[in-house]
Amino acid sequence: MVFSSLTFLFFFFLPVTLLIYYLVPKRFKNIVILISGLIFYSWGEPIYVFAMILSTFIDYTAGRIIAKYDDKPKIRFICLIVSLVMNLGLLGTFKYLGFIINSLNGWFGWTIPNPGLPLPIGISFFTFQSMSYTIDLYRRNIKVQKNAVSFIAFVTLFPQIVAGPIVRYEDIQNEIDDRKVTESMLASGISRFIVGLGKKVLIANNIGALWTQVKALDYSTLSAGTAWLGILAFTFQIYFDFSGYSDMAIGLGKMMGFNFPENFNYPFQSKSISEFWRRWHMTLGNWFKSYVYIPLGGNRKGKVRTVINILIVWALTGVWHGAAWNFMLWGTFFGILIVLERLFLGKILEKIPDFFSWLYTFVLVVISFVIFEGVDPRITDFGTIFSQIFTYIGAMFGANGTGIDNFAINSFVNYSVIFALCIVGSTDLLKRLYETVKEKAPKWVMYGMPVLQSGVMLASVAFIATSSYNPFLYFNF
Amino acid sequence: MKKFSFTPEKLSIGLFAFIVLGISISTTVLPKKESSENENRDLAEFPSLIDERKLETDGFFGAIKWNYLVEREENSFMDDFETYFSDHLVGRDLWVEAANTLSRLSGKQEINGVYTVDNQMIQAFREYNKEETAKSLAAVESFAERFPDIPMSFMLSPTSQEMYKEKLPSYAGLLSEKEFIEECYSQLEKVTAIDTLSYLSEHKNEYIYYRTDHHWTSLGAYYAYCSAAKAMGYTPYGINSFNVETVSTDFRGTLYSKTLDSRVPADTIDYYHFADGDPAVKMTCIDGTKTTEYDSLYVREFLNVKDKYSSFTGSNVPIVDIKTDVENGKSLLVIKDSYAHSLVPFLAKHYSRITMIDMRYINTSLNNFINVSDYDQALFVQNVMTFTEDSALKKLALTK
Repeated sequence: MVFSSLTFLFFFFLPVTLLIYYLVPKRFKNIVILISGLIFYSWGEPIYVFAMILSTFIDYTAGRIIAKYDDKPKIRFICLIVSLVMNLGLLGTFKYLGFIINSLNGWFGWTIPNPGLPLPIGISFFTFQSMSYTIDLYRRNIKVQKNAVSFIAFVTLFPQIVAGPIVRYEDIQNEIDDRKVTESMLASGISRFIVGLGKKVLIANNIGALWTQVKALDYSTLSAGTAWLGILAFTFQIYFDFSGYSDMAIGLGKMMGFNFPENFNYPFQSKSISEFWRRWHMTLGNWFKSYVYIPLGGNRKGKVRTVINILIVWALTGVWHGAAWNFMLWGTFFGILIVLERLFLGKILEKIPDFFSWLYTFVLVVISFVIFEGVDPRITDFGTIFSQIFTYIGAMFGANGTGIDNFAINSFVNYSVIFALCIVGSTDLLKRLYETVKEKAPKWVMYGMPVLQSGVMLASVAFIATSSYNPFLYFNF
Repeated sequence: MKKFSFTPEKLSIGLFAFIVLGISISTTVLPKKESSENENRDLAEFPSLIDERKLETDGFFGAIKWNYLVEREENSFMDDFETYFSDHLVGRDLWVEAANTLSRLSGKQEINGVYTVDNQMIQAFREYNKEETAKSLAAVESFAERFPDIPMSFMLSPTSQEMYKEKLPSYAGLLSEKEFIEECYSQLEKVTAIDTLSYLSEHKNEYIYYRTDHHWTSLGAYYAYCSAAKAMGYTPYGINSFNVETVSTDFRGTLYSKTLDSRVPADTIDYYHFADGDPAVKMTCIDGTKTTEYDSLYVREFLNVKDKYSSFTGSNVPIVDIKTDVENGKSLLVIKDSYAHSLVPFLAKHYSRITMIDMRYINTSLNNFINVSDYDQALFVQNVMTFTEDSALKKLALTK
């Protein structure tokens, strides 16, 4: 289930779950989290919820054993391996098996049957979260969680179960057993949730409609203007969708007394690709850094190993986003850029005016989304993948011979306000404005914020309601 | 005790709780509507997890629809639940109107495929399937070939877009209906093409299209009638030979349903009665399951519901058979869409019998329903939108 559904907003979750959560005594609160999380998850994934329960159960048990046999390195190591194999096995089976089989069949003309397993919602998130617990425990970075309810509550904590942020056990180990919700925490949680809802429903969904139109066109006929508007629309769509979802998760967490890690920090303001990835999907970047890059030796084993390590991490980051070659290419594209920045580009970027280093970063990020989204992910043939990518990128730079056509003008006119909102919303301008107002303006002005916020909430509900409004001209037609 | 202080935080919490609880409680307790007039469809029913037929024999647990509950994608209980909830969301149409208003304020000129300019709603004609229209036209031609003794005429009528095109942005990527009509007419040989477009264009500053509906008004239909009469070889009645009866001034049609934009004033529906008396008629509407008879071409009960246009010869059904007291013995077969409904009252004075056929609802050979050879003339009435959205005329080629 998504947070921007009416069932979530006005039925099961916000009203019912939160009321029960606030009303029950403290010691039952984790049980409420556990049950509501399971219902929330099964709402979208009624069968594969058992995959999550299995993963949770094994990690909990592994954790207990690791803690109990603190002086038996072999047992501890076996437990770690069991947990890793199980989590990566789940991920591999559900997410990558079909992709690997399709690729092999495509390349070698084999006919291995594809089991066609569905991708359980959020599996890439909860396996990573759950794994972080056993790894950190093995490394003795955290204390064991003996209470099964608390541990399951950590995994099934519904705000972050479906699309992150990737909350590591370390992040909430103090709050899972002892937390309280203050008035200001609740209020800031509500603000954060509404900001996220608005980003998703008012901005991402609206600008996404433009990309849907462009994506349906034949790439080899796109004018440069249309190609740019289309991929810019997608760039903003994915940012507002994903960061909006993280905002909603962080807000819901606050409403229940948790402080989740931040996931986005105005990535489109970055002045290098390395900086972009320190600001975009930060919890994923940190995860790969802690559990892959550093264990591989990071940058401590010489230049060549550093380059290899970076490329490994970025290929994995790419393919984490989806089981398809274009996602791996997307990750590798960033990996190569980051290597170049390490070697020499970074120094140049520091010297040139900020505007140019920003432009370099933003244009490359936008182009990266052509690789991410402009390719049919079912394609396993690299020739076709590259031809689609370069046809689109070619169109952006005028390869189809037209700069601006009616489609581009029409899209620009119809979407100009939303594009403007996207641009302003991608910067920290509003945040700085808010802080200035809070500091300098008379106190009563602050009462305007909740009113404004309610307006955003109501507008979001209006747009959600509209998506189900389907007028039919004729009956039985 | 701590003194209560009214902080912005408390206001924020209060407003949020008010919105969430307000919407959820009112949606849950308020009575539910069964259908949505604006959308012209039934609203979702509550997705029950219990199979009531099994309840007596199999007990409570035996009657639970487990498959429904564990279905993963569309048509799952969870999906239907969301549909149910959004179909019955409190004040649903108001939310939609608010969202459309916001879209408009954000610069969106087109809402749900409809442009609104100068109090006129216009459906955008943006694309069509060339092959499908060619197939439809070929079927019309072969139909004419099969009945060489029956003179046939084809009226491909423009929609309001063609009349008001200069008000629409030039970059909107809209197609020219005029060019489309000319292109279609060039593919007709055995069928006479009716130049309805130029008759309507001459009067484009008059009230010939509804502001909030995709149909033409009775006045628009009158000019279309003039163009048809010329092609079919008789003199149309002059505009002064009619008494106009205004039957509704609060008609909001299909384009209103798509935008819910209530700034555009409601439409007026007029009936044009022949000054020397409307012909007496017996109209039989056959919709496949039931047959309804009327003594008039106007079904006034529709004036009390939203779908007021259907008061012209009733709603769309496969076959409408009209017998008049005109004693010339002439009969006309009209193969039509809903544009014909307000046109036929004008034609009624020229024929003893008119049969309207809606090919959208007919899936076998036309001869299974009527004997085509019985008719003296045939008239196709199609508007550009329905003609391109549904290639129902293809089915004329069916011989079984």
